[in-house]
Amino acid sequence: MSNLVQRSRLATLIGDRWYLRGLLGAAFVSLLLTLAIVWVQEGGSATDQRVALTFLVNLVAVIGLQTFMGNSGVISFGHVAFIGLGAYGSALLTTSPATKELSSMIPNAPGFLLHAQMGFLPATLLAVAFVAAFAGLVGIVFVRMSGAAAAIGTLSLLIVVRVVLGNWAQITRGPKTFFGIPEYTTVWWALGWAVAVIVIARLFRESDIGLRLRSSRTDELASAAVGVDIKRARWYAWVLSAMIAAVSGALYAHLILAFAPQQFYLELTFTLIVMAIVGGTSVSGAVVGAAGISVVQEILRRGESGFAIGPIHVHEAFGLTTLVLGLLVLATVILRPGGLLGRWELDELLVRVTRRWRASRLGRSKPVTDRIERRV
Amino acid sequence: MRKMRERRLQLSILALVIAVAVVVAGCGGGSSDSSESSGGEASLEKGSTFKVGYAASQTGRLAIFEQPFIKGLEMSVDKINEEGGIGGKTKIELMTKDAKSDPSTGAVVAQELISEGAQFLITACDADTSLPASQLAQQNEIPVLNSCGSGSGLPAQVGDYQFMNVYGTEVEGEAMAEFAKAEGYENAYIMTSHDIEYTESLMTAATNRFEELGGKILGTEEFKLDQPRYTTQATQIANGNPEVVITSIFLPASVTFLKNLRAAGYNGPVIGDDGQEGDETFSAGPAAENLYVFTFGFPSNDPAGQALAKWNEEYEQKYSEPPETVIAALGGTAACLIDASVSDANSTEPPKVRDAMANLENTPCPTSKITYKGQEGIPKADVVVLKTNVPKKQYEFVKRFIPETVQNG
Repeated sequence: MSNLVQRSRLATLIGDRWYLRGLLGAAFVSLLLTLAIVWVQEGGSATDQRVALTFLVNLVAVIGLQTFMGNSGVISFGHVAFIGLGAYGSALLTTSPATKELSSMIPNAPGFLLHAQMGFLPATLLAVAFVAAFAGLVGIVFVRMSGAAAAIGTLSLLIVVRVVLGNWAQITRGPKTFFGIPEYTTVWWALGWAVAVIVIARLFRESDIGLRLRSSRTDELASAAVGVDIKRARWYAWVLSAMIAAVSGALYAHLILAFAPQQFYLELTFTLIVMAIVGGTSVSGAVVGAAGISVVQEILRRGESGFAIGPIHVHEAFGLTTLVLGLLVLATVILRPGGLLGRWELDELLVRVTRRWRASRLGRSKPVTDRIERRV
Repeated sequence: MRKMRERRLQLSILALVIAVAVVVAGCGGGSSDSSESSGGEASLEKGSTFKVGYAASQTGRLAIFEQPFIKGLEMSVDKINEEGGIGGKTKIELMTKDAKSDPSTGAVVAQELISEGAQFLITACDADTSLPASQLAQQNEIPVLNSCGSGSGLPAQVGDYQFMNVYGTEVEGEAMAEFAKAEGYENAYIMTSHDIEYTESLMTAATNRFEELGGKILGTEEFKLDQPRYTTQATQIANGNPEVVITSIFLPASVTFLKNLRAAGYNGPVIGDDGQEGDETFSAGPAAENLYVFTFGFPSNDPAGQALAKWNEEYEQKYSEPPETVIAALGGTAACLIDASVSDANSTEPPKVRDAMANLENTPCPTSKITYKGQEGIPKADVVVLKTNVPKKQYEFVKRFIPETVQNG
């Protein structure tokens, strides 16, 4: 191929090394994200910083969701269940035993949970490990589903987990609020995790399994015919995405500090799915979707309490945010069914643009590689 | 040669990745909170303002409670300002923003209000939803009043800047038991639910207090909030033949429960919580007979009741309709508490306002006289008991009292 078109030195170097492509792409996206967050931290108001923090936690959740949905093309309404389990897991392990032993809390919890009090990182990792085991088990069933069956199946998972969390009073305090969780989630913790999951999700996407999974998204039968073990590929994606979702759950727990099972239900599912749909199926798509929706949401929220455009004064318009979000999803589905970025990563788009630019400088109308890539 | 150059490039890419990681990790150590402190004048001066931020639930599941609260609050704030402001000098500037009944949005909105100079915060009608916003207020040393949530554990979780507007489930449950005992009932059946904090802690407090006073609990039935009917529980209760039934069930489920209970053959008195107070109760028809409900205020003929009657009249003049629930008057009480605290502090500085608020004693407000002194953020206020008058489809005043448990500390 390099004979047909003059490639950049970088492209030559990367060649077929998927991990380099993944790392470089993830670094590019992470750098943009880090710059944006640092910019908000340095120049933004305290409110902007709080919004950025919420955005980062949502971002981790959306990347988790996209790691499965984006790569496999199978919809999941169930990932919020993993977020909930991650949140409860981390909350149980970090909350002080004195609080847990209160008669109104969970005095009858098993000893190892009752007396456990660890730092943020070990608690998060343990919660993630637990969710991985759980997802690995239930995943055996879900990887066999697609289409409507997957939608209904994963939704049932969400309901089942919610009902269990809401009734296992010995550990979760039942439907009542779990409180006394230490405040650990800072913007830097959230950013660190966001960057980590961007790298992991991107590496997975570029890996052999990721590639096979993406091929099954394009054509399930054809990829099975060339020997792709779709169920196995889906299972890896399912477990990894559940783990990332659990990380966001831990971040969420230490951000809002008190929650009940109903917090991990349809409302959060809707928010995350909107971000995923608007962004696109790639890792960058998740970032763009989460960022875009967060920004739109925040602008609308600020507008809700009344604003003025020249002589026109708009007074309180509560509920505007939800309305516009609905319209945004509708518009995305109609105008760009694949989401804003479609299946592309930001760095891939950048490469395409530079290639076009190089080609036009060389006097070629269209680079060959670009045409080939388009057909894939 | 080319291989080497490749290797070098490869290394530099890896270096870039590591650099990003290091930058990210390095930033983690040096986080600093640069939230702006709110300004405030030293003493009340003519023409000054006191900024009150309200992270309200104009939409979402709490909107049904807070919309009346907002109307009541706005009316009372307007009235204070029309009369020249707090102490005739300081106007209240009310900034209301929608926090969508959501804890994280609540924190964002609270931060925004604090950045805009709020010297006092009001939060959602639910302790758990308010928690992140309340903690921000505590960190910024700004007094924070919970609009109408009943979770009395909040001040202990947040700190000394947290105040509740209503006395909470524990006091109400104790009051229910004391009232039942005072009426001469020696045994009772409890109808409770472990579904939410409210229904459970109310009945736990009632059970404990009733037994403490020498009453006998004949049995406890448990309900789920989404049950279509309560015939099983109703039959059990009727078979127990108690002198009184005490329950934490609330509207609209309470209507079904009352009907089922009467159909099962129990016609004795039922003592219900504040969630049963509403015109909807009368849709139970004759089943609503012999029902006592507990609430925060009522326009009765005594002085405290007359204060509320006057307030309700002003409300009706302004909005040309009577307040739909007593929660509207709680909005009036919130404004009244702010007025009294700033006036007592003779300052708009948040810490001084907090100190003044914590020392309020028998402050006459629309719903009741309020005392915070020695109460750790939970108001000592009247518990009001009403009884249904089914033919007239309205509630009648029975009594107002402060439970002995609160009086004796």
